[in-house]
Amino acid sequence: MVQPCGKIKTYKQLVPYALVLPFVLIMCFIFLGGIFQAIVQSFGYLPAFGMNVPTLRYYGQVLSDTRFTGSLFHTFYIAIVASSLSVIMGVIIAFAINRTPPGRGFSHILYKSPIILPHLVVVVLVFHIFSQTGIISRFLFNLGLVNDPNNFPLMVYDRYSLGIMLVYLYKQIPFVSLTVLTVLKNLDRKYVQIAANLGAGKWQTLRMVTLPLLGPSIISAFLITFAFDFGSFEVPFILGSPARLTLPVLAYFDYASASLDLRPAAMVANVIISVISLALIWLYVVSLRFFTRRGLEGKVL
Amino acid sequence: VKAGRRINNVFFGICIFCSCAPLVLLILLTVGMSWPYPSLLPRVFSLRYFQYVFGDLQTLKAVITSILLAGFVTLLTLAIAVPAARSLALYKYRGKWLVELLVLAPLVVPAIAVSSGIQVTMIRLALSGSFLGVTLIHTVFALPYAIRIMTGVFEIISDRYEQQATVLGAGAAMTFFRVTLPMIMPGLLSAAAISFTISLSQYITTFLIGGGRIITVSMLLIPYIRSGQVQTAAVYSAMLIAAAMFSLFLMERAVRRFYNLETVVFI
Repeated sequence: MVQPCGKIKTYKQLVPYALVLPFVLIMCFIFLGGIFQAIVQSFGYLPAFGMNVPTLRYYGQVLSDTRFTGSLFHTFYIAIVASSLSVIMGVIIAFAINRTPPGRGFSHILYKSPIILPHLVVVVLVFHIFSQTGIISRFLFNLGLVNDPNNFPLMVYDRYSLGIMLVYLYKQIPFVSLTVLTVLKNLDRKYVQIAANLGAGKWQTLRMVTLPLLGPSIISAFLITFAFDFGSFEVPFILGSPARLTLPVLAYFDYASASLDLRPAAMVANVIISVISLALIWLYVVSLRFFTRRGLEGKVL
Repeated sequence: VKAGRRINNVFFGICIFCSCAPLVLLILLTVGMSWPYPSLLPRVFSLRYFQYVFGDLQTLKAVITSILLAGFVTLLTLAIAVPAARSLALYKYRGKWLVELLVLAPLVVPAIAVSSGIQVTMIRLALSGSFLGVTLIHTVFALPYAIRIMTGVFEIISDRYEQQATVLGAGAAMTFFRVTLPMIMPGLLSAAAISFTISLSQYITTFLIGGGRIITVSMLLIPYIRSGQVQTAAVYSAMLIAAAMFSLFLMERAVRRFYNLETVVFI
């Protein structure tokens, strides 16, 4: 992976490579090894089970399966809706927080609390609040708006995966607003005041200075949340409708099933999820380069 | 301007309510005994669910396994992330962009793809169902967060102070323990806290690589939510949060005493 090229003169030039070596090793062994194995098995090559002939059969089989394509669309739908809403609301909240005077240390810590909560805990909470016998349903019952828990709209295990998206929103809105807020605070000190000095109006500053400068962090927040929502297993596994499986859950059920024929199919699903995710990183890097070329700050990490 | 500020305050209040009210609910769930449908608050409060969960030896074992696992994952993650972050923050070299991509990759490539792929290799190396195997796979998914945090830290402090220490005659070990470590300590703690929580909340990786032999709290929790037993699930959730908070608290105390720091800021 890291190839010191012929120009190395002193051992000092090897220092960064040595420092990063343990990381590269564990990633090659576990992470890239795992993806490599998934690719090999997706071609139906599993010597341990006597399957020795690589074939493209499983790709054809999976890609023409409506169960798979339906799941692919549904996963995309969840990820796009949840990550777009997270970014929009996160940015709005960041602007609002940026305008409130500082010195409210405690409340500033409180709104971050969802970031530390494990997803599983949020799943429990969403279930208890939004299920048919949940808190909201109980409120409406006491107000006389719902006369039977079965009349409360299904928001968990539902076809539109609302419950899943609520978990993502709860976790991600504070994440996005925190990311954007960090950048906003720096901008204020530098460019926004300069723009004001040069006579730019509020709206003009927002449109011409703030939003373009926020670009890289907004894009990175969108792609990271999108990738998470696309590949998360636990949340749709618990809160999803059995009729609308997301891709990771589908891959898991195929993988765990007793039928050996389904194992390569599960790996095809895994490879496709990984390819989509990796395409996202590529997009991310390309978009950062686009911003950097325009003289804006953008870093891969 | 005043009206605008008031709207802001209300808005901010709503945000705080939305992030805190669910936590209050979680506590109510764990201590509410009888909580039938239309009532908004539990009728009887008791610790029966705690008794039920902790009366089981399996739970205690799972708690210990989870904490040990998260502890080892944190140590391994930091040991790998600190040098890697240093390399990324302070040096320019060929192939650096590849390393940067590799840091991002586990953030976007789903755990299910990696862990079901590596399972065969893990079985062959007798790492499947072992503590070490699960530690390794958790570490892979904790590393990106730790490296991102530590890269930021190293970029801010740079190596000016270390150079000064060297000029003044400090050896490598002394420079590290007396100069570098105290300076990166707050960042190191955030990274540790995140690695710890990531390990605690892993499910599918533990399930596939642990092969049913490594049982963590998260693995006990999921069947309860899936079968709609919210209150039992809530007790396990509270345990996850408590374990995370407790470890954070201990780490902060230890570091404060060790380095005489006034405040240590997390995240």
